[in-house]
Amino acid sequence: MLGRFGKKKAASSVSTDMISKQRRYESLVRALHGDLFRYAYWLCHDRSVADDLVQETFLRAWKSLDSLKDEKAAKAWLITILRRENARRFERKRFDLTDIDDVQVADSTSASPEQQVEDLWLRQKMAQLEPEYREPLLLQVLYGFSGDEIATVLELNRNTVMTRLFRARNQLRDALEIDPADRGQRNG
Amino acid sequence: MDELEFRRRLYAEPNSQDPQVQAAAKETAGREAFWQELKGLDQKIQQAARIPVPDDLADRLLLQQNLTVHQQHKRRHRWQLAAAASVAFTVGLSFAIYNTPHDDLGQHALAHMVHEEGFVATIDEQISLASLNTKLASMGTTLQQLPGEIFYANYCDFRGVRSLHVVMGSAQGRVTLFLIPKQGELTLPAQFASERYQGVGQDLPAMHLALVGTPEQELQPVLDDLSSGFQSL
Repeated sequence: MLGRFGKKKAASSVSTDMISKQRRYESLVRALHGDLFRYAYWLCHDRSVADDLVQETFLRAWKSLDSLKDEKAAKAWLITILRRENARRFERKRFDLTDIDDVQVADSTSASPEQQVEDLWLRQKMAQLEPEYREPLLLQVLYGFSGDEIATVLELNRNTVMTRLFRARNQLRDALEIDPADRGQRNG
Repeated sequence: MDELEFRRRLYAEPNSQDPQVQAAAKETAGREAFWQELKGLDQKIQQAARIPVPDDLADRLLLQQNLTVHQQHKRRHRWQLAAAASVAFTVGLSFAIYNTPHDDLGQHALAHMVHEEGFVATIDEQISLASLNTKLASMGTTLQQLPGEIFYANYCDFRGVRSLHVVMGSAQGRVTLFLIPKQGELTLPAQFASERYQGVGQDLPAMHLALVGTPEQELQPVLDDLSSGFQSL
């Protein structure tokens, strides 16, 4: 009976903690799941794998949510977890590398047909970028991270990051300039 | 800032707020246009990067987390249950150990009864008060009177203590009296019982008196009578 009383008190404080943690987690999920899914997709080029990665990431995030003191750091924190999960995926299992042309690239439903075609084409080009170029580009474009922030997340120095960003855009731009004719052919 | 550096900087960061870059953009004609073009490219990249997200992803994430929490709760409940059970088990066990007949003179007397019940029930050696007192004298006491006849009186061993085993008649019928000199740390409870016998105990200055009979017998008055009759030598 004594135990009961004690438990009741403890349980109520635990449950208020749980509720506030629950709220934090919920807002974290709602605010950040979209871009995280996109980032995951660009890491693995597979919607269902990306889905799994995001699930794993948020599960881990829930478990160590208490260690997240600064809500502003949440984005970088989640990306770090996601990248680790992605790396773990490769530890577990070596995938056969597929040629990127065979991979179905995500379709957009929101844009106009013409825009769609252009997006699709640009997506293919982005998918063809070296991962080491693609990642900083995505962090900059999707998350609006500065060079320093990207450097922190990717554990690189800032100069390397800037060089990779330069090369990433350079390659995309070159591809855009070379390919217009090809573009029509592929998507027409 | 030369052209190459300017372009490198913009390629790396089309939305640069760097005043150096801003100033450099105004240095040469065409640089602003180049910058705009690059911003256009960046918008396209941005749009291309924004692949559609599954509509239900957020809900699934929350569901998954809810399930995890639920399971953790269940696991914790199971753990608590296990802890409670082990505490209960320990308490029960220690009660059982505490309540098991352990070594006191009462239990010893009862065991003695069981051990000797065969002959004690029928024996009649017709011991006189005088011969009983002779035996009692070695314990430093005498008895003034008896509640009834004495059927048997002899020394016996109570856990290494030489004691006197007396079977006598009383108003309550045949009863057994043990006189155990105080030695060692054994104690005699005021009352003790087993399935077949019950007993009452009393401490005199130099010895314990234990009177044992059947459960139907009123032993306490007999014992009171007896104990008042003892006189130390």
